[in-house]
Amino acid sequence: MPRRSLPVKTRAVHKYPTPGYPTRPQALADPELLAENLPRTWRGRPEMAGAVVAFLALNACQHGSSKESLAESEVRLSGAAAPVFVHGEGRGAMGCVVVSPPAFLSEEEALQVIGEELEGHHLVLTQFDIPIEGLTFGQKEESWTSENGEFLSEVFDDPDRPAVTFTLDRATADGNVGVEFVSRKDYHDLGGPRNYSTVQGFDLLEISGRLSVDLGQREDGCYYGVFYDPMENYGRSNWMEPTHQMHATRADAKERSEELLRLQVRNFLTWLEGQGVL
Amino acid sequence: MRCRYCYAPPHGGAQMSLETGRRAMELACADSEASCGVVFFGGEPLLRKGLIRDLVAYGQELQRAGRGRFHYKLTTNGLALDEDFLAFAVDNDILIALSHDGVQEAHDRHRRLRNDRASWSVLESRLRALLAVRPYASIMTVVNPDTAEHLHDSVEYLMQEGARYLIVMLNYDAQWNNASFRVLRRQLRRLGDSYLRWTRADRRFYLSPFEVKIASHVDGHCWQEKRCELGRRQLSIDPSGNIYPCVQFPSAGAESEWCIGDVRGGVDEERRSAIHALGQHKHDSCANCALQKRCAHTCGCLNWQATGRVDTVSPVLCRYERSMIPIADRVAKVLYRERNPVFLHKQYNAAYPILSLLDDGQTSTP
Ligand code: SF4
Repeated sequence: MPRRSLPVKTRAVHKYPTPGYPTRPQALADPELLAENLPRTWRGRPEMAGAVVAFLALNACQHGSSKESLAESEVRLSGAAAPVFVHGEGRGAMGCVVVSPPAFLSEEEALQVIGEELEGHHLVLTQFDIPIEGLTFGQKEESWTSENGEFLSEVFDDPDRPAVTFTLDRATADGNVGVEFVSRKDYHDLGGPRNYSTVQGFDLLEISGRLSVDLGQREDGCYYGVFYDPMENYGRSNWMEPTHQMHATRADAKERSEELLRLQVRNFLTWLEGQGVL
Repeated sequence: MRCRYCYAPPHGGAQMSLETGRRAMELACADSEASCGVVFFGGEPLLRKGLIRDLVAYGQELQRAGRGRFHYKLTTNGLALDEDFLAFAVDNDILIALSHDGVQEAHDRHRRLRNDRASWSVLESRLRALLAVRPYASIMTVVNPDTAEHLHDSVEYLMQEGARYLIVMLNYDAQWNNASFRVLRRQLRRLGDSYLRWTRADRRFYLSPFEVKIASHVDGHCWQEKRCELGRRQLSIDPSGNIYPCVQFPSAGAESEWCIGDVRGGVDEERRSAIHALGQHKHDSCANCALQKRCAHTCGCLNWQATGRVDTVSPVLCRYERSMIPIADRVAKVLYRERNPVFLHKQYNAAYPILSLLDDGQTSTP
């Protein structure tokens, strides 16, 4: 008999979502489920009808005492969200006094990168902009005050703006894997404070971390990946360059951001593998 | 045949006598009111058709005398499966499981004849003849690292030939590595897509990797209890009448620790219990695993085949389970959400096999 060591390893799966279909007792708690969904070839055959009714009654007897419910919402699905993988600063500011502004990636550019990486592992994102019921973010405002020469920030709820329901950027057709790219555009909708002064700060990394925790608490069977814009900046020395050179340095910064984003996605793929999804 | 992955390759040419077979049957039914399953396997059991006929006749004799009840199954490579034996099998309700690895490229890689000739083309007519009388006959396909790339096409080919009951097993003893697993996983995903397509087309079939893993969730409350337990539910007997806890172990020989008795003296219960206890060993590596209730890591026979130890889980099995369970769950989730009638009845209606046969106008059980 073999006594050799094998090149693949045993590895426990630490978290696995409850599958998105019921157990037998849950299913049979709804007497209609089977009776109302007869295979096509069974329908319209009188000799089958009697047999089906008799056997369904038998199923019901075997499992009738179960109190588990079929209702899909009651089939408990656990959720899982990957931690945010840190590649890139994800912080910065825009405004009149900022000398080294970040180069933001657009949603399209970022989702292109994410899609490419996932497709390399046969994960195709065919669902777009999926509202995630029950996950809302109150809108915040930030103001600065000066005390003894020191600037202090104060964040409070913005009374003029209603809470925003979170919309997931992309998911696979079966809803098993979902991704969100946290861009500059998302910042306020995800609870990042608005600043009505001439400088607006962005902390996409922190916002992403909070979003990942919220998604991880859901029980919908989806594996979520939250990525953020690394926000590579132009570099101070280049700021004074002529416009065409500035475009070039911005393009360089965006390229660096894309590479950092790719690393985030690759970490996510490794995490998915660890979860047994890949 | 000389299949390269055989776990019981021919050695010594020992043959079971009628007397040994009879004693085995008597022993099997001695303590049981229930119908005993007798599985003829080898080597190649159809090399001893006469013995099989005699033992089935003996089973009927015992039954008439009120000493036992039996049902039969036979696992064959199909080479000696002729019309005559098929008729006998149908008459006596013997279930036949045929070993077949699917498309020619996969099948001929390992399933070789004694002179190392390929066997696929010889089997074509046998496969069709079997499926013509027994569409629900089990077709058992073994996947090796070097045949994994053909898995999807092999299953599709067998389905096209009319097979409806497909058992797909990995050769856990083979040298799997990351690359071959990646290939396997891609194939399993493709199979998942085809499973969706076939189910949506109202096709009735059983495809073991999916059915077993879906059942591990659907019947999660009792799935582990239903599983085979080393040395408890099923024993294996070698040609000389020595008894072992499962099919892999006769190759260890009568002198080994795995021999737990013989048909004359009966089962050494102390030894059997010790082996059973070994099989119940809780694997440290699995203690914190979220899949442990759905995984076959408790199969001591399989662990022994792959690692040489009953109580050491096979890394190949682990990797396979981690790949297969999410794929099966994805497929099941989609079909459940669609309220696909064939899926719902197959997975949740205990009478589905019988109702399907009624629908088919078949009389034999799958
Ligand atoms: S998947 Fe691996 S670690 Fe988990 S129970 Fe199975 S063998 Fe053990």
